[in-house]
Amino acid sequence: MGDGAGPPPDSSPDPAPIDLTPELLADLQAGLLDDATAARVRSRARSDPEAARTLALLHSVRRELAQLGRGEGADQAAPDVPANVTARVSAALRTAPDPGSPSAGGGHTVSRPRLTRAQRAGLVIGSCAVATAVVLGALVLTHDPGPAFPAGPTAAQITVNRTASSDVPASDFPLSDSELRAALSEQQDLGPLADPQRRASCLAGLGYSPTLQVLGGHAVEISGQPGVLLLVPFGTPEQIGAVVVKPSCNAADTGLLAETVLTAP
Amino acid sequence: MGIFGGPREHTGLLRTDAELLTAHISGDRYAFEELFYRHHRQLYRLALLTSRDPDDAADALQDALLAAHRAARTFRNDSAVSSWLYRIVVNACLDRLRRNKSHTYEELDEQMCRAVDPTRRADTAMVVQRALMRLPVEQRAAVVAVDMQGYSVAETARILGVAEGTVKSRCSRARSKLATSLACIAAGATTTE
Repeated sequence: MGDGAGPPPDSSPDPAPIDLTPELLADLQAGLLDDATAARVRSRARSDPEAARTLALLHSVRRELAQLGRGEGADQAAPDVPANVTARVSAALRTAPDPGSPSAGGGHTVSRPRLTRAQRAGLVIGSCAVATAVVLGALVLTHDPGPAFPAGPTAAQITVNRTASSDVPASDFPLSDSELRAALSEQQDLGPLADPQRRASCLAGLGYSPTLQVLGGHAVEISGQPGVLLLVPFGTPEQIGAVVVKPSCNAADTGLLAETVLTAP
Repeated sequence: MGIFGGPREHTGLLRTDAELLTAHISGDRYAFEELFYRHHRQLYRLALLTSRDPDDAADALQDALLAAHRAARTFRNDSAVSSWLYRIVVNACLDRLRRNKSHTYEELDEQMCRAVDPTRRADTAMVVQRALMRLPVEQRAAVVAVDMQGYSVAETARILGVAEGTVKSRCSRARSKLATSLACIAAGATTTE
């Protein structure tokens, strides 16, 4: 882990002192700060053990939530479902029309020849439209009219796939803790950021010292977007900062895709 | 015979989620109900987390599962069946929140730390879930969408009918409060509910 001392203190005079409150650090994590302020906060946080611990805690929160979302290891945490809820849903499902019957809005139950890709695509689009119209129509009839919906797609139309987004780091860091630790001992392959000047510009944009030693890294992909993993010293000797940035990362536009803090086991 | 009322087709072997969904599409009257029961605790949890109250959650859960029951043929095999169900339930709940916007919610107060299970062996997942339920529903919905279901901020903003900055702000507030819960556990605070 290099000299373990972390990045050198920010030597430039602060135009205004920054109070590293938990709320400010949460704003940083949520992407609410402008780039310049975010860089300053990151830089200050790395030399502040308490702030570093808070950031690590915030990252833990996101990991715990992601695990809850997958239903992992939390059977005890899942609430007991009231018997009346289970009963009413079961009853509703039993009396619902067969998805293959005409009253269910299309299709039939007999086996069919295998569809071509284009035919499947057309069937999916048509089925989605029917299902969405039925659900939304029923809900509108049973509720007072609310505010006008935005013109964009409703939640029912959004597909399962997560789309790539550069507006905020993904909820799941693309690599596990063990993979990050393995990257520390592997040969670095930083792609375009192997160039010292480009790497220095990228680190500066992230709020690090431009001369900060990178402890490890390699190419990764997040939701189809190419990125570069960088492992760097963090606020305390037990912590390592992990960021994934676009290969074009520079001081003006880091293209930050994900970040987390790795804590020694 | 079990609770589903129908005979099992397979002798003693549990069908996978994908097999149950296929059976449902093929006309097995009890397959989808079995699928629901297999995941009903997680589905109900997600509904509770993204609804204003248990009644709303139950309504949204039923509506979502009926929609999934009808739209089963649209499942594209590009994710686990369970993930598909989770997403449909969350979508349905978030849609209801958008249609029934209200600014009356129970704000989390400084007593949150005292409400956390104090034992060092407390299940972190239970702590996080308990803390989640104490969040204002708007903040809860934001982190459920972004952190639990993996929607981007832009997608979440569209679902909820709010600005992207609002989503980020709600996520920030929610995570900050949840972090306080985890910090309480780490510090071994002694509390009672």
